[in-house]
Amino acid sequence: MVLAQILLNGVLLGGLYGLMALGMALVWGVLNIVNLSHGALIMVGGYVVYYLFTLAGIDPFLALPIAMAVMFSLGFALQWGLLNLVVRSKMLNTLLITFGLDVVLTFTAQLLFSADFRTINPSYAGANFAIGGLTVPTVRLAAFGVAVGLATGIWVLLNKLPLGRAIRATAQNLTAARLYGVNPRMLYAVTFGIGAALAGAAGGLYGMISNLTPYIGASLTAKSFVIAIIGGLANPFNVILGGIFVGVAEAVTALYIGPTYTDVISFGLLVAVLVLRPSRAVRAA
Amino acid sequence: MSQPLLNIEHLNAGYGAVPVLFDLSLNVKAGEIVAMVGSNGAGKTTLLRALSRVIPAKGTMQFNGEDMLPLAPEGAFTRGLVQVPEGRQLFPRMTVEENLHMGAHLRRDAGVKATFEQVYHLFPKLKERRKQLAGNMSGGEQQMCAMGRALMANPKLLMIDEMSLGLAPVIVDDLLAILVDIRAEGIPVLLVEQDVFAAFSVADRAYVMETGRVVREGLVSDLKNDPAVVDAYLGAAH
Repeated sequence: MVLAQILLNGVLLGGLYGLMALGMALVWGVLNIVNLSHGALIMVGGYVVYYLFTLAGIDPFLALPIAMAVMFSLGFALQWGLLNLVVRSKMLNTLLITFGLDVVLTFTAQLLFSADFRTINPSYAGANFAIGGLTVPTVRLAAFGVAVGLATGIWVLLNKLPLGRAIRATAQNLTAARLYGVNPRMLYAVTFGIGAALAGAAGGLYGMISNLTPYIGASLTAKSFVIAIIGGLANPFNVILGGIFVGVAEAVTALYIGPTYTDVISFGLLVAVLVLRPSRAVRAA
Repeated sequence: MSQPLLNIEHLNAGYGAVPVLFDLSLNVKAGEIVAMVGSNGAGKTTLLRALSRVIPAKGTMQFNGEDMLPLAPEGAFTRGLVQVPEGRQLFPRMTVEENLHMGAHLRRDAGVKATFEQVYHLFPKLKERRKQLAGNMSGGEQQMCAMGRALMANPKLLMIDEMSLGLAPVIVDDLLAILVDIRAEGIPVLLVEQDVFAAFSVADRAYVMETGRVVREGLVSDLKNDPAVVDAYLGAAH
């Protein structure tokens, strides 16, 4: 029974991990940018929801779409004004500039929001219900639902809508996409905006089940990176599954080995994937 | 004869300081298949790049009576100057249908569905394979998909770069027959080809290009009997 509860916790947390990685995988797959500031964007999204909740009194789940819109605008502007200058250049350049962006976002957040721990704490934060002897935390279940819902939305966008078709076409053959009237600069900005919006949603949910500080970005970037590699860049549902895989692995590790070893396991998994399925990682990159 | 659809006079173009096209003149009239032939390095692809407004050019370039030189690539494209690029340049991990959709990416008119039918009518094989990934098809089918995608843009002039490249002769014959059908649908074709035999088998008129200059031009029926052209391109057997 303990194991079943642990597995449930792992799955629910893993869905949120998947959502964190989703925006990174999208940007990586389409723009070939490994966005080292992705975790910082998650952090900023978390603060947006935090202040919408504490200052404006908006329910955090209702604040998610607003945070996503804010983060979309920020992401669009970053790509349009900054990252478009280095897109399609050597990966080292994009790594450097997104690392710099991570530093700027982190310390701007420290100045604006202070280094205090913040938690988004609605009245129902501790609510849970029992089903079949298992305890289901309501907020985590809702977060999982939001993650799956957004992954579905991204899948529909990429596979059924003209915008998504143009995004995939540009990723597959830039020359041809240009030839048929796609404006890559605009498309890249929209794609990065969507990635940032997903990060914003993930940040809001993260702030409800954990603590926000300006410094959470780096470790969330690393976790998103691992999951994007495991889940691949092509299919949003695989990214969510990758997140669940990591979430469950961490939960089981915490139970049987010790909570301090969870990071060892998630990065151990990355090494294992790179050894066992290197082609996948190479294709992803 | 009325004014030509595409009229190019004294065109000079190249890459940076390196000139490739010299004082080049050609025209395409409604209802024609015009071939531009020449060997590797003659400047054929550069001509198409200039026509698509990808590289700068000097001279006269009029399409439908409008000066094309000030336009950006998108402007040339939306006016109906549509190219099938060398090497097909499909979206390999997208289906045939999605590739065709991309051809109509900028179209907002209600005629897209009708164009789909028109393309499937010209290329029944594409209809059969519409759910297949473009990257998994044979070279000939990929070329059909690339031509279909260009037709989806509703071209006023279809420009095809090296259609026959890497394809078996029997497949090339099929594609040439389809070019005649496309002309019959009212879409003139500028066929840029190394394979002179293939190009001359369907074209009405042709230009022969060498090192960036037009060295011969005229009706294909005349060029076929021009000793210089026969010697250089068609061989003694012809």
